[in-house]
Amino acid sequence: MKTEQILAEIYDAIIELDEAKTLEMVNMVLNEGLDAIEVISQAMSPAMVEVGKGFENGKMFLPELLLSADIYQAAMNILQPKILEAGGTVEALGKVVIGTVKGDIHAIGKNLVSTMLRTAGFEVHDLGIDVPPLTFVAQAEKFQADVIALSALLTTTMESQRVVIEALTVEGLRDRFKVIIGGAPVSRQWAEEIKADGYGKDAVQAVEVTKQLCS
Amino acid sequence: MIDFVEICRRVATGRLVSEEKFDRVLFYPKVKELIQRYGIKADLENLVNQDDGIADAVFHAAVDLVSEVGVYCPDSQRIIELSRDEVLEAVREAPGPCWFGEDKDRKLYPVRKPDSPDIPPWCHIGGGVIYENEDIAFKVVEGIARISEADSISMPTFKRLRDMPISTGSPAGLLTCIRSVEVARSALRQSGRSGMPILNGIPGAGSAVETIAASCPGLGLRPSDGWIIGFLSEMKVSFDALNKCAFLLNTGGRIGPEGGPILGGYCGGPEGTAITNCAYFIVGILVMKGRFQISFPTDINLGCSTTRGVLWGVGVTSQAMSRNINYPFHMLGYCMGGPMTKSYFYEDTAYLLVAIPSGASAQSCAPAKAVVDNHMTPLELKYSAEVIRCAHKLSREEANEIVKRLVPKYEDNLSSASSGKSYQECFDVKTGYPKKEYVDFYSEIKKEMANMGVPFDY
Repeated sequence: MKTEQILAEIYDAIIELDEAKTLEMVNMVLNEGLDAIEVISQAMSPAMVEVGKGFENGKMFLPELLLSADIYQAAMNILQPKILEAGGTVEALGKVVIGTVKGDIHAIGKNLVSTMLRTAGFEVHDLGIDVPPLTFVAQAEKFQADVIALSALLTTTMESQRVVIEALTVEGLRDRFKVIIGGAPVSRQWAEEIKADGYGKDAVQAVEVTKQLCS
Repeated sequence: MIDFVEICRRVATGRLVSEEKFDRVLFYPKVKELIQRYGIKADLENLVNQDDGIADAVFHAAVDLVSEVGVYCPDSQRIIELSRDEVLEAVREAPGPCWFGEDKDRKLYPVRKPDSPDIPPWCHIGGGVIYENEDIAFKVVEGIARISEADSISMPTFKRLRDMPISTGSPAGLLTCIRSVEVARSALRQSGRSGMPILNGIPGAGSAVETIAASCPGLGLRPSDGWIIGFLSEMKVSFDALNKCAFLLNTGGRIGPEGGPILGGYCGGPEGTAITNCAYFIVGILVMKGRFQISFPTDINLGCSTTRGVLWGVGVTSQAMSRNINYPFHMLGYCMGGPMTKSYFYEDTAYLLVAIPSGASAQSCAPAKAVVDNHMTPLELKYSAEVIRCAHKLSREEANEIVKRLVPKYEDNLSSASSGKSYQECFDVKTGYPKKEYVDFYSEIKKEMANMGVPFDY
């Protein structure tokens, strides 16, 4: 099978959420000695961009987004070791520690951003919900994160985003990590008030801003 | 009907599954299957559904969803499973109309039907917007009390206690909940509406401790009021919510379960969101022992309620529930536009014209999605109340014709809609009355909407 055809089939299989077909084609790539990095950049990543657009346009929904991310990761789990064996590198765009802040148990927005960051090429450590401020700091240090992403769905839990930044300052770590905030009640104005480094009004913007923060 | 103690037992002994498995393996595939099983398809050109068959199909799909999937408790990581017989019993035995309020403000919250011009909807006004301080919140409550169409109020709150910012779950947060209740009842008394029922004295998102503390007799809340308790999306109930239920069931508080399915999330599209929305009503009765229900579907990308998909679902849910369960409910919409924006008034009108002719009662739509401090004023709420009061005169067919012309007026600019002006910019903060600029704006918009066919009483 020609390279272009294989790439097209991988692209289609991811968009159609066909994990079996995706992995079959990825294994074919390896068997035929094709460039794994080319498969990622020319087929898999564009497919994820298309899935993201489908989500934005209301053609696909969160479960499909999560499934596509699982398929993408399953394919990466096959390709990455081969890339490393061949002396190549698969570098993440950056490392992100993400969570819903203390006092807040809402997860959907955070899960959405987490998934979209992963499929955009970030290494993401999801701390879950109701995360105390100093836990964000400790985990960011542990994973040597580049960005701390804070989600808050309630006006009464937004204050915890400020406290995380305060915690970083108190620990002398403010300059080490970029902080991006988001969530329904969060605004650019709030981000400026608490001196966050970035703000995402929705998941798509959150990914774009995180890319800028890591560039 | 199974009692609350049985619910407590099932939450402690039900099937153990991870939350992710519940969401992705049990819930979402079932929603998709039910859409196919009942052949439900959204019509995004005609947002006020006129096909009773679709509404009934959504209802039956919701019955199946509850009985085939159940409700998940993330704290115990177990599923509260409910049999089909139990679900159908809850539907049969649903609590009917409910009295709220006292003295001259005592009134019956009705159960309505689609196309029922003889039963005016319950008119619930206000929202949980945060204000700069309690003085402003006091004036806002007074302003709402002056809205004669309002049957009940949802209270705002304030962001600081003295100079301290508030966080949920903190001692300052608890004190603020208590103080909010005191301020609201005091403002209602001062306005001459001491009997007006408060249907959300404590934020639905507040903790059980805050609910219990602020419900102490003497602070301001009474058995003739209502308490909102929220499910988590989707089809989940926390220990905190169940703790509130346990307290209120034993103190005579009227519980208003609140479900906010997210279109684009685990419900999928408009069809799945409508089915899930209806399912919340059923589990509101079964699990929380609800006396009335609040429904607030939103769109995952914008966080508002006025996109086509959400609007269609609001109408279908209202029809499905009002046709099949004897249970009072109101729909709550979130507008992108804020005070003194055309977008707010267009969105609010569209939402109410979908919901009320479909059989719902309604709450005034939240300006700027209720997330911008100080961005809710009694004047756009008064407008909302006037629409609520007259919308039941329209048939679904008539309402649909207006909505078809109204939605295009705002939908292309929805994502960039302005959050509008603050209370302090719209109102004289000393007198608590609107500034001329806003009164003129409101008059113009009302005229425009009347010309489109909204049958205002005056």
